[in-house]
Amino acid sequence: MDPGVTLPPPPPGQGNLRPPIPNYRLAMLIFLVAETMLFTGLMGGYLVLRYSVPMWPPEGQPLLPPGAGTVNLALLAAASLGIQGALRSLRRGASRGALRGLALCLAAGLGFLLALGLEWSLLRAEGLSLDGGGTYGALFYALTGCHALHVLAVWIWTVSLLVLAMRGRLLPGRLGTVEMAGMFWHFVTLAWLFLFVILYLS
Amino acid sequence: MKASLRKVLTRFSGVISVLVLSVMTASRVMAQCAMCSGAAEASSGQFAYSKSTLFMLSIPYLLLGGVAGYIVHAFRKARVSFPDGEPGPDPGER
Repeated sequence: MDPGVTLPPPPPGQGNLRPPIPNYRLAMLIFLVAETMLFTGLMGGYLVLRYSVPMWPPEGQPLLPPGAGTVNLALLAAASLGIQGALRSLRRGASRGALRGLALCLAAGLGFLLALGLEWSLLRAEGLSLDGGGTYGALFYALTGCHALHVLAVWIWTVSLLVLAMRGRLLPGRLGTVEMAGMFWHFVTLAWLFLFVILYLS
Repeated sequence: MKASLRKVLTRFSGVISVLVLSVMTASRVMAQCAMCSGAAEASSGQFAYSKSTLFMLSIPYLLLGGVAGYIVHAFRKARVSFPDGEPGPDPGER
């Protein structure tokens, strides 16, 4: 721009207007919509294959344990609550509460990943493997594996937030990244709820 | 507001009727031609395809409606809170 040109001043009272929805929140919403479509496609494929056969699970294949799915759902809900509590504490300027919330979120997220890994190994021992489980095994590992990758990604993101919080770099006016991570945690929790219903309960 | 809504409903009543009928006769709509219809009826997986297609069709509209509703809600809230163009607080902090 030509440095000699000066822009007219904004109308009175409108010089500092901010959009009703911050850009980071809108961007995260768009990203989560795309992620939802990914899971929708996977679940749609599952529904076609699941209801195309008269018997499910196929003969000789183990039933998925609903208890494990419930525990995983509770762990993800705890992670969501943890990061939401951390965000609330950071807005109040309570760094100790924020650290506690982030630690709870990380512990619950790690618990979810470990519990899912344990469930996979137990099911594999019962004969539900990628190579020998047929469509049933492929669908189960594809859906839960894709979800676990998302949980792992947001878990790593939360570790970075914990490091920032410990260094005192998460200030009350600049919490967009914490809110975005929180939205992602809520998303993975909600996605697991749907996966739990269609995989373990239907 | 009510009058404008009625006007919109009257104007698009044909489109709305077609949409409602489409949903009510979904399995027929999904089989776009006689060959597809015959294949779908002969297949044992017709139920599976119907349900899956309906599921996958409904999600984008639900998402669009949800996001649009949130945006409208946020703008209305901003207008109610600061009607005279006063600069509000950072929306991320609300």
